[in-house]
Amino acid sequence: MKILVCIKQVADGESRFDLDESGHLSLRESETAFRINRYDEFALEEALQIRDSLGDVTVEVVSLGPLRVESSLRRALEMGADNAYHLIIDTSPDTPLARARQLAFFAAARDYDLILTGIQSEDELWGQTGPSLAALMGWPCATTVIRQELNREDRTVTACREINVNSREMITLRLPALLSLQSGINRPRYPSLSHKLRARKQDIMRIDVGGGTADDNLTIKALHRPRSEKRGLRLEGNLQEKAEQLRELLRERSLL
Amino acid sequence: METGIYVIAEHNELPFTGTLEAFTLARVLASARGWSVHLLVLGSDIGNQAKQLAEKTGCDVLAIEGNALEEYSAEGYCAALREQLSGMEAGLICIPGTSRGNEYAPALALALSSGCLPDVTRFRTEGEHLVFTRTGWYGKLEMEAVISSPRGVLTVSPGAFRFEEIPRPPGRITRVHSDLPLSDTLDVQAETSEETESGLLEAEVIVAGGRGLRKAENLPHLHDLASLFRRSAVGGSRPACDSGWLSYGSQIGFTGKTVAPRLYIACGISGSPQHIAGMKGARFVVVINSDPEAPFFQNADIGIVARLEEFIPVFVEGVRASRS
Ligand SMILES: Cc1cc2nc3c(=O)[nH]c(=O)nc-3n(C[C@H](O)[C@H](O)[C@H](O)COP(=O)(O)OP(=O)(O)OC[C@H]3O[C@@H](n4cnc5c(N)ncnc54)[C@H](O)[C@@H]3O)c2cc1C
Repeated sequence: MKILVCIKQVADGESRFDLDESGHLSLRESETAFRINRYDEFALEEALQIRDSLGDVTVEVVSLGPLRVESSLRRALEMGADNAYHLIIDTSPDTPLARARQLAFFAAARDYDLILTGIQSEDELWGQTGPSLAALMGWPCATTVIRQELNREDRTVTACREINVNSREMITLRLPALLSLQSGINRPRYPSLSHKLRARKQDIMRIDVGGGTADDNLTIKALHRPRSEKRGLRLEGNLQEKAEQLRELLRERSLL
Repeated sequence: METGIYVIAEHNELPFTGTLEAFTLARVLASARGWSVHLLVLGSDIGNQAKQLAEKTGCDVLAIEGNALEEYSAEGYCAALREQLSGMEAGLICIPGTSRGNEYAPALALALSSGCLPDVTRFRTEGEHLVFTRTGWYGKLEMEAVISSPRGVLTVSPGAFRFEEIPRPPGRITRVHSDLPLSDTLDVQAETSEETESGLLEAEVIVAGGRGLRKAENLPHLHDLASLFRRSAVGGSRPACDSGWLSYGSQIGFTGKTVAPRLYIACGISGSPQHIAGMKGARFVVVINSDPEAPFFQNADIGIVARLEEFIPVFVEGVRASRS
């Protein structure tokens, strides 16, 4: 049985997201911490747990992006993935459908039984790459999955989808299928030393995908800073002074 | 089929919050463009839902009924809508930005060769074009996008468009039958659990913690802070619940509780749209965050840039000293 986990590398949320004059992101890469999208870590952990409990399962990871994404693929190998594939592209296309096309092209002839993705990427928050990939593959898919059970004999997977914290839906899909996982489904592991050592010797397979595919139906024009909903008061001073101001402000409003 | 805006209701999402928000965006868009709005609702026996929607919105409702549509499934919704909407030459399809809506929207868009834009929060017109805004980049930036295909699929960000009922005569209801069979999706079953008691709904003051707590040992800071107020409770963002620091019954947000206290103190929460959707009704908001760029500050009445584990003890100490 073969499982593919799609991994996106993201800039950490506490990075500076500066814009250039035309409204495009200009990250100062040398000052930015890049890591695996946390939702994708849940997906990888889930795949590893399936392998741990069923045996005879190969877990592969794939990531689309420039050379730096290999640090995240390496991390995935350290966590325990069997094989890692890097779809090399200087600038990743800016829409989820275009990205999903690249992933679908890669996955098409590789006989996966299951593809796992995170529900969304923490940076861009699209939440569409997984379901778009499933649609391109012509596979059934379930999103916001917080529990799953794979049945190898029946070739089905039963997914529990979260609608909200008090309401869920159970759905059974025929394999091959794609699940997009919600946070909290598991606790992603830290790489063990032995896995770290093993991962150093593993190759990351590189596939040049060239210029990339476009999404003709959606154009991202520009980015901008959100406008403030409220003109809030930013407290200044040291901790003590801020604390005193807050106390006074809350008292004035009879909140304290 | 006429050019217009087709709002896809979620038949089992009662009381239709997401559906009515999607309808609200559709209504504003329609008046900007001179288009008409249609509501579509899918299910197996949904006369009742169709009637409610027609009354609430005053909009014509098309009820698509079939055995395969009794429970929501992405596959069933896509197949039925594809059939229904393939004659539509231009216009927009508006879908609630819920777990379900964001699940089937991309597949529907692909089936209709349409662009797909999730979680829309605003729009403006620019000549011929409609320019839509959505939140990205951890909420620190917004992106503007244009759908270039004649037909487009949108999902509507929860909480971004508040529905207000305008007194109008109810819309007409048309019922059509769909005899689509189910294929890959097998027996969908709903599962609900009891509302867990967290005291959040009754609380006048809520102290909420997020991933910025960083470890369970910092949790007492929230309780210390809450103890200064009468009728207070502690809640948090999803990651605080995922980490096991708080129970899921204490999760505030779009998929958790919706709260509206007099005072909301957010500690180490970035302010994602999904979190904000659950606390927008709070009357006074204090945000404590170590990142001066955290998006939550845009929703704050008072912003304090500080590490919560340093600030809260100083504040608590100060209040206690002033009381004794
Ligand atoms: C379908 C779906 C539904 C969702 N529903 C919900 C929901 O109902 N509720 C919800 O909350 N989320 C929900 N989410 C998740 C949501 O998208 C965000 O990921 C989440 O709200 C972020 O939580 P956070 O702000 O605690 O964490 P982060 O975004 O990681 O923010 C942590 C913040 O803490 C700050 N910080 C770090 N250290 C400190 C310190 N020492 N002192 C002070 N501040 C510090 C950082 O600057 C940062 O701003 C949902 C997601 C999906 C996909």
